[in-house]
Amino acid sequence: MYPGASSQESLRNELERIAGALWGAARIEALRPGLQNLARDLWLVAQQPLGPLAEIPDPFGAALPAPVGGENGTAV
Amino acid sequence: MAQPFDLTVAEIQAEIASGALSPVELVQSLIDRAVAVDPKVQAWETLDAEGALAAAHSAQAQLRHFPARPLEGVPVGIKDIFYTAGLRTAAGFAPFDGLVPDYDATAVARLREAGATILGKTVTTQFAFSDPPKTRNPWNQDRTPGGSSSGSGAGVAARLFPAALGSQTAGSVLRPAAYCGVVGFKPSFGRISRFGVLPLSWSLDHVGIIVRTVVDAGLVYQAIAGGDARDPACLVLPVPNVTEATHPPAAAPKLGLVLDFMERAEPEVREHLEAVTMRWERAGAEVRRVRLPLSLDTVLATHQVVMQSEAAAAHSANLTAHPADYRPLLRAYVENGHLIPAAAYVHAQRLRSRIKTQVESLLDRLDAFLMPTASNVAPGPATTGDRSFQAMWTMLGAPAIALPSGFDASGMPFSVQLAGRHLDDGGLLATARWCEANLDPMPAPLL
Repeated sequence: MYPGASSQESLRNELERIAGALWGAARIEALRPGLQNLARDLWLVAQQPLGPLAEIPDPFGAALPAPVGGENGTAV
Repeated sequence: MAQPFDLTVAEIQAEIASGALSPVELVQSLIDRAVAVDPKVQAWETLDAEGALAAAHSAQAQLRHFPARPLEGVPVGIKDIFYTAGLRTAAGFAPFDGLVPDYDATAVARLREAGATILGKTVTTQFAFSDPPKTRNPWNQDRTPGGSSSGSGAGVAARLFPAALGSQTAGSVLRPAAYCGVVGFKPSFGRISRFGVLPLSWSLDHVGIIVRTVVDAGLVYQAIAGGDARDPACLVLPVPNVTEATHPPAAAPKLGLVLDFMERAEPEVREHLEAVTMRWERAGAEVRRVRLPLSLDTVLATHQVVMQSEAAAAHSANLTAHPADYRPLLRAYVENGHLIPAAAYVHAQRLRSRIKTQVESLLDRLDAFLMPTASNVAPGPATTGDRSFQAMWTMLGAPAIALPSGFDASGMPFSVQLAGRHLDDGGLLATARWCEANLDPMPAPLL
């Protein structure tokens, strides 16, 4: 979430401003429907509390099995 | 005997093993079928008639000296994001038109090792995203077949091939299967290698199977599942013998009807699922009503933040090199994905982990969750349909399967979805086999 966005609407406006700077004003019309969806999704996720600060998560691949692999079927 | 092109995988297995059908006869029947039907359906991106006939002749020669392998002579269509040695892999992306890989994706290589014949490449939406494809629904050419495994779903329904590989990052195997009236199976994350499959989102991409029966899903799964060091998420664990689990039908299951999906479904879909539920209850199934531990909107938002972040990372360099070659929806999705803060992505992954724990606890006294596969039957061809009923199970890495379950008033297929516990693919297939046995058989579309 962008710090300072106090509502889904202000978040959408902030996303639109950055998208214009990043991809050019000519792309905004094409990006706008997606930005609306993205603002909704980021807002909904941000409303969900995380665990205690001391918790150590698995940030990439969370919810997934621990990666194992190796040659010839040997777990590593 | 049915026409060779109309046989299922299990029927082909039996006919070839008995000598009643030759691999060459079967491939020729499917080539003739493509000439007759594919102009309407447009499921094929590349039909490799020459290569498939050569492989069929080879299989035929092999059968004179050796017993049939598990998928001996079974023709398979491969979604055009899987690398196939010597056969173009374009992913719906013009700059890849001349891309001919010199190796097979692991899933394709395992099909060949099991004796399958690679018949060709099926139409995918560009890079397996949501821009509509050229493929049409075999039940009504004014409807979408769904996506992104559009050609795989439509082709199995149209009897262009008895089995196909697809991929699912949100709902790209189950939704086309549902819209086209066939079986779509997305096994657990980590069970089938993605090596050699063009990515959209690394922690969400799954390989899936589209066929006409649950038994066939098990037969193909058995051939391609298993560890592969070249996909770091692919688990080196013993693969359950699911072909035994699907013969004969298991005992009546305990199912959890997920009300969150029922409430979002179109009224006709909801009524249909209620009728199916009653039918299964009469046959002995126990069906409980369950609710998700948090709102479906939040679950779907979590999936989206993960998928869009990873899609932006996967496609960033390619988009910079070829912006004009990207289809509009995918281009905007990747561009907007660059705006997602890293902290939001990590937050979504942590939330995903919590959702998985909470949802799996609901399965403690159930065999599977039950819900419609999609909110409605196939819509028009301007979209690939609604992925909101399939994406959650993809995010959780859970096995999920779509079963054709009847028709609406306009003759379009309905579909029910079952989802199970991560890594219990055999359990889900056994449950699905019982459910399938208590549904009416699905006829072929008139083409």
